Amino acid sequence: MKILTRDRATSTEALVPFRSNSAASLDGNSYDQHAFDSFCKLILSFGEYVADWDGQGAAAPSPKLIENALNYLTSIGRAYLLLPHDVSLTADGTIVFEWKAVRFLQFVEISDSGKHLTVIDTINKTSHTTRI
Amino acid sequence: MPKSQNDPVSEEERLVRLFWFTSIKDRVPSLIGIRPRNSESEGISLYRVECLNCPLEALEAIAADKRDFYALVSWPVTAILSQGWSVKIDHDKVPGHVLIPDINYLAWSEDKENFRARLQSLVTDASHEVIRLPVRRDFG
Repeated sequence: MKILTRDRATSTEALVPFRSNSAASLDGNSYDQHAFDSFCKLILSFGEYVADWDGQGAAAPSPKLIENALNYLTSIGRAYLLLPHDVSLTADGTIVFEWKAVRFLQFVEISDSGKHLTVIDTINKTSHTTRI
Repeated sequence: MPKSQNDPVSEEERLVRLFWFTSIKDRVPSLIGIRPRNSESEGISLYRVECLNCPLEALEAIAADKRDFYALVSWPVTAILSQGWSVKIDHDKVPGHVLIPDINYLAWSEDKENFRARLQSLVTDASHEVIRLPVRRDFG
């Protein structure tokens, strides 16, 4: 099911299909519904940004970008996967989900047209990117 | 007395970059804050601390109503040079403006894998210093 921005505009709860707030995620901890809702609201707030929002000529995020990011976040939630540690809007008009571990950093960068996964090995200082 | 921006960049200097508040969490800068923006076709933009009366002067490159949302992160010039990158003087409205021509948007776009790992090592380099945290995070 596609999650449209307008569906999220009034509530971040109605479309989140969690059976239980305490459902286990892959890391064995209880699922953090509050964090999920916060990321939903954050992504929605990006939709309010206008061109040059950072004072350095940043691009305004498109409605398609917001929709893609919400769909991706929802897919994480539905699978009870580990939520990102951070979600950021970039000046180039993409949204980046970021997971951090001791050795590895993982980024999923979402654009209007798709998404790419990058894993950085901070010890070997290598990275690998693939379209997902 | 600040250095003249025409003076050659020396290895003893430090460079400062502006980081949007979402690019720095718990005093740790993110790769997102240092990767080239699409407007940085000639290289990423930094300022020589020694050419400024105070590092906060670098914020004058930004519209006044956005300055509170920026952090300032500095590196020694040697951290840039040790990666094999160069520092190029580039006169701009704020004194001490420099570019790292090697880290430009086109190069980044064509070889993100290589750049991501190298830029990540730069943001985690122990030589970096957060010299100003964002004053505001209530944007949007």
